[in-house]
Amino acid sequence: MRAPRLGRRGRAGKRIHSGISLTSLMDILTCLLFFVLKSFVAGGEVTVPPPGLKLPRSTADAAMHSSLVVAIDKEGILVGSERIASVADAEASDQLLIQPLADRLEAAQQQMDELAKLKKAGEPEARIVTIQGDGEIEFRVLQKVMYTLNQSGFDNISLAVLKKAEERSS
Amino acid sequence: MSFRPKRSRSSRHGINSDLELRPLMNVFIVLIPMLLMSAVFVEIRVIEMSLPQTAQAAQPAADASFDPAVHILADTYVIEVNGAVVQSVARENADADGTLPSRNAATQLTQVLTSLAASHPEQKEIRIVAQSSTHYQEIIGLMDIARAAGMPQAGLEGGS
Repeated sequence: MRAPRLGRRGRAGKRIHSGISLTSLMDILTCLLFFVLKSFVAGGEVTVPPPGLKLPRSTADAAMHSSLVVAIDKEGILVGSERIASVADAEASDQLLIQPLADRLEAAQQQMDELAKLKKAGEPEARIVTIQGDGEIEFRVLQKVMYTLNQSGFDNISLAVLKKAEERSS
Repeated sequence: MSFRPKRSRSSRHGINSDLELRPLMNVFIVLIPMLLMSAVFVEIRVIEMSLPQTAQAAQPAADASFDPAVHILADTYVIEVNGAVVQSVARENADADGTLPSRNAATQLTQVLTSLAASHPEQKEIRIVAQSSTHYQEIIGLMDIARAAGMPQAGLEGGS
């Protein structure tokens, strides 16, 4: 009977602080949160190439704009995330124009025109397109895609690359 | 003097004066992995090109008095000016890390193109004539070399 009462009194008298001190962890997490948020703000336009696509590496330093993205991986040609044509078909064809791509680009262009009308922009926006091509694709495919883009009225082309460190000439 | 300060009451009742940080911690623990997962740590850059207008596509610029071009052939890079061969550089296999053109060839190409660019400082364009089986990475590599040499505007052209 006596022992438990003693124990209870002892605990109440000492008031052991049992909570974990979280303040230092909070400091770390706050720093991390700001760092991550800042990297988002500084990053500008963020696009992720389709899985499996390895962009070529280059020393180019121009920042990416928001634009229509045409991706060419080893199997197919994609507009946005939609698979439009296969690379094998494009290679096999005698014509420079890739018809399914041209149709899709026309639809995209109409969409962009409608958006511009809704925005009531004074002058039409420049038609920019970004090509995200796999480093292993052959020039004949790229040539056909570029020709199709040109025929569809997209004259400003950006080639997406991964930034590599500038080599020091030794 | 019957008034007693608050301190003694709080010590009697054991009010915990620490901030209640656990809910905020829970929010952070969810938010930070989410942001980290969606962060892109690879920098994507672009090389800007402008294609000729459709009507002019077929005809090359006729008034160009100085027209440098790099042809990518099966085993050589041939540098031409106005159709005359200036120099050819052996095209080697890719370096161990997959760099194309190989460092050796890149050094020679840089030397030739830099001297060409120095002799015509107003010239900013160069044509890259690629084979249909040339890999995209190699074309980008040549564009990098041309840009470093002082000719940032590269035009692509299909060879035979």
